[in-house]
Amino acid sequence: MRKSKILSLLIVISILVVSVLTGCSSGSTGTDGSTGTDTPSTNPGDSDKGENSGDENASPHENLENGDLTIIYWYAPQKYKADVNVNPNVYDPILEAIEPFEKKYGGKVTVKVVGWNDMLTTMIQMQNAGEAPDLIEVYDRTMHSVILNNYVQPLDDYVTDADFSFYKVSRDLFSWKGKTYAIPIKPYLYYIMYNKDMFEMEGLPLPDELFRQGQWNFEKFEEVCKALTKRVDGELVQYAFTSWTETFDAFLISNGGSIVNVDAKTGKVTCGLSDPKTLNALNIMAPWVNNTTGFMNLADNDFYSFDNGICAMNRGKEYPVDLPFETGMVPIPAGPDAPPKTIYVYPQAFAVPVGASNPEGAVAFMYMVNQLQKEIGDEREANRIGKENYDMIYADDVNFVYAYDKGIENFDYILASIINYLSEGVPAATIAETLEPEVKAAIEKLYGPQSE
Amino acid sequence: MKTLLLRPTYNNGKDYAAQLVDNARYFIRSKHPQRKVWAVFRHALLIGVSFVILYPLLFMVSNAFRPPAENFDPSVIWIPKSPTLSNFADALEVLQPQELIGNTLAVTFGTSVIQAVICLVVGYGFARFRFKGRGILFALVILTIIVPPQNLATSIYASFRYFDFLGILSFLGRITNGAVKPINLIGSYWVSWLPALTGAGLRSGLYIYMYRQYFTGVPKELEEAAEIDGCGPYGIFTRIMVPNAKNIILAVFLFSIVWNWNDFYTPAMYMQNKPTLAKALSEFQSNLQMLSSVGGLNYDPIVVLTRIQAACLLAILPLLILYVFTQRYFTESIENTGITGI
Amino acid sequence: MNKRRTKRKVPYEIRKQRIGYVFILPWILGFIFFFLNPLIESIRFSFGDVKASPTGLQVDFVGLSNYTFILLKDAKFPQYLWVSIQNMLYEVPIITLFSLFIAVILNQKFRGRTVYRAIFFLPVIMTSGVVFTMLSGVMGGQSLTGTQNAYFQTTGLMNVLIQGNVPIRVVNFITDIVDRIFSLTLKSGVQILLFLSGLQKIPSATYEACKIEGATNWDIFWKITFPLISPMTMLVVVYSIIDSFTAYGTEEAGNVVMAYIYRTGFGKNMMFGYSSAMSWVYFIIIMFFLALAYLLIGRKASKIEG
Repeated sequence: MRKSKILSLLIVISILVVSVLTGCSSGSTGTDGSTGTDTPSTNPGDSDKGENSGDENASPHENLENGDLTIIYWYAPQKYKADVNVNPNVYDPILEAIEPFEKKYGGKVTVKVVGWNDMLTTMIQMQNAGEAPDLIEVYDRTMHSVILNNYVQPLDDYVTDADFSFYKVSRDLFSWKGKTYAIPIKPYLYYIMYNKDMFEMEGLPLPDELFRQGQWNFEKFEEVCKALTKRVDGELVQYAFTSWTETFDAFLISNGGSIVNVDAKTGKVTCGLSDPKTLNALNIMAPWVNNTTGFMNLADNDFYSFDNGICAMNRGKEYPVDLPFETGMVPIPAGPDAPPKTIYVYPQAFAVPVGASNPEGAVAFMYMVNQLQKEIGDEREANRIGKENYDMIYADDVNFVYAYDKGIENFDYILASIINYLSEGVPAATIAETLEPEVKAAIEKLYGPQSE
Repeated sequence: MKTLLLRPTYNNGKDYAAQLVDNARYFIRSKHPQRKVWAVFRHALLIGVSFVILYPLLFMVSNAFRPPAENFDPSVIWIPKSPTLSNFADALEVLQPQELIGNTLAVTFGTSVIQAVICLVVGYGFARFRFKGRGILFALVILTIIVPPQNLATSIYASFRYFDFLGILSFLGRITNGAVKPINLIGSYWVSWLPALTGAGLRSGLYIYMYRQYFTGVPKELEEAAEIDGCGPYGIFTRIMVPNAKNIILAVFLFSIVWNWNDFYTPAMYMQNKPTLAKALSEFQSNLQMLSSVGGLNYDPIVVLTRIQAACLLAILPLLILYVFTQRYFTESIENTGITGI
Repeated sequence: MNKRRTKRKVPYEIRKQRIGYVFILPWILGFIFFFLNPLIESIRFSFGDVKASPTGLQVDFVGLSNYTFILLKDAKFPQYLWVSIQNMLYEVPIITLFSLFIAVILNQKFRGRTVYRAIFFLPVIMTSGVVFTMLSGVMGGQSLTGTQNAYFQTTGLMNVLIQGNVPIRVVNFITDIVDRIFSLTLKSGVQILLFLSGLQKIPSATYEACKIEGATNWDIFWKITFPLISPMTMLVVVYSIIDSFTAYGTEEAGNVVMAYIYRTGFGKNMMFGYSSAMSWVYFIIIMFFLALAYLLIGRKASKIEG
């Protein structure tokens, strides 16, 4: 009996082996989820073509040879198709660019769909296994992390100025110490949705009209907010503004201040809390968040109040909406230290991981993506948010601002502390002094020691 | 007559069996006043604790049947003013369970069966055999319970991508000039099954530990008796130990099903083309976009909350049903095990 | 079958040892395939500065500096560690005793027992994986409004008390305790079931026999039940310790140290070297407590097994 037991164990093991060998050959099926290229890459310097071909109208990447690409993305193509059926104004240029790219250059584009929070982890795993993807999305929270930790490669050998000509954003924002690391896509802007009926009831001027006149600033903002805030026996019955905590930072930046000052050209990063513009903004905003007299609810986004006419403005609600009142849209107001038509946007871009097998193709792909956005996507967005709103925001005299505050580790905690202190009446200078060491420590962790 | 398997704690050597029937009946049926107090206390305690446990579930149910507009309505506490099934309809539309069922069952059920069986074998090995290095190896088992899979993430991907039985396949590859290659397991069910087959699945270490503790509690007399009858170690295992371990096997199986059902990490990371229910649930909020009535509002809690609760309820419903049907096997007492020793 | 015994070439005991190896063979394979490599890599990471390179992650050896940093210079790690340990020290005994108590009750014969058993399985379902993450309100990086969260029930209680003019410190104290009761109960799900399985191994004949002897319930419990389930007690304690130390999730819903380790590695700073070093320090501490538990309880348990 002992021998037969060992024999049966051996049989089991061999069945295991055989079934694994056969079962796994059908492993990666499906066009949407399979992993990508099998040739691990070596140096970026291998590819020789791809420079500007000299013809200004054509893509600067006409001579791309290798059309195979792997992209890590969070939006599944099937889900995208379903969404478009429901709302034809939804447009994702990345997914739309796949077909034309494949047609133009031959080759195959593989999209590895991963959840938004898992994108970086998956990229690292694939790099570790020797099959790094060619493109990954980065945004303000992750851009500098991936650059400074060497997960993405410089693209200067492949990009031209044409690749950055689509949007009003400087190439510096996607570079570090002179090397370019990411290619932007259309920036996502923060806008405030406001309840028109409430404004009209108080006889207040509408915010977007003020914006068009260049009058939508902190002063005017405070004025309308105060008029919209009503208290009965010390209890708030109506108030002006609600959003998530991180929107507070947007106000700071709309005044030209910031928590972290990053100079991408030199790589020097300092704490911006004590800068005059930041302090000025904090001082102006202190009464806004004050516990007893304030009118901003930043603890959490109070959608309920907005939907029911208790709160007049909400940053976080997106079009299209179905509400019982008329709504309008306006960017975050500009501070006194900044130009009158300032809009806070949140940078989104795509970077090429180190070890990618087709960085040149990646850059060419992004060019196509941005082209499609310009030709088709812009129009869809105008339809989605309203043509007037669209023109208002993308007018020529509008100034886009960005910041990389959110890149540091405990950004949310620091911001929440600032608001807490302010709401309790602590003066801005004290707040800056108290939190400076913490900001500096976080800066050092990410950007390395800074010489004073 | 064989004595009871229990080590007697009273050393007077009485013959329990003889007195069992008569005296036990008498004693148990006595209406001791202490008993009544105890019964009341017991019920009060259980009801209290049950409330704590049921609270989240009641919350889910209440929210799932509410129309989204009533979500933050302060006047509605538990019972919605106009109960509706629309959340469930929406949840079903977004989740698309028909795509998920196959994958979820294959992964969950398959992995659980494998885990219950393999860990049984391994746990028994650790419990009843004294081999060299037992302590250290078992300490390693404990180590595998402590380390969460997320910490091993970066390297595990490579292990699955180029799966190679200790280098055998690469070796064969060199011999056959590349005809044999390491296997790519990514995207196949084997990402779940193979670790389970080798005792390295989700929480497998815990099941091994459970089995081990269970089997260490079985008295040696049983084994000795079987040996006298001529059973070898394998026979003891298959004929005596396993049939009596039904309770613990069921417990492990249930735990395994629940934890595998709810696990979204492995499918999300390594089996993206075969989505399971857990993975779909984790993406539920962003997928709400698909519903015509939601559009771009999937960050708005008013829109999202009731549907999420409905989706969660749907997701755990199969587990609840499974438990209700199997839990009576938990209540079968030891009388059926056949070790009464008389 | 009798042939084997007369033809014995190898002593039975040694044969049994070898068979033991056969039984645990699957696990050994699994450990080698799936754990060994990542563990070794993790150790390597912890002694180095991990950077990305075209061929994967590369480790520049820096000796013990990661360890000295996290133990001596990092302000947060020791603090989180201490909080974690304190948490464990009060949670584990309470959960163990509570679940044992409940399991004993559920093991008795009374009406409605099956309903209660069904209810007590719920926490196992609801506190694992994706359902727990969604119900704790953290999804997609933005939490659903706090008050509507299934696991933060005390805000309603708080409001009632505050409006009743109870002093704020008392209110905080009470809600803190209520919170803990809720969370401990929900964390005891698995342990109750473990004890229940262990209890069911004990034949009811034994209980009846002892009652004939005139033993009180109390006696029965301490002299029979308790010793017989000591293996399970050991398991429950070990499981509770591990669960307390390694609950995965955000900082409110999981363990602060695990959240910190994950953030350091996969968060913005991506410092795998520190992250791995922290993991190892943490695991050593966990093993220390497990060893302590084994010395205190496990020894007694194995004496009974014999």
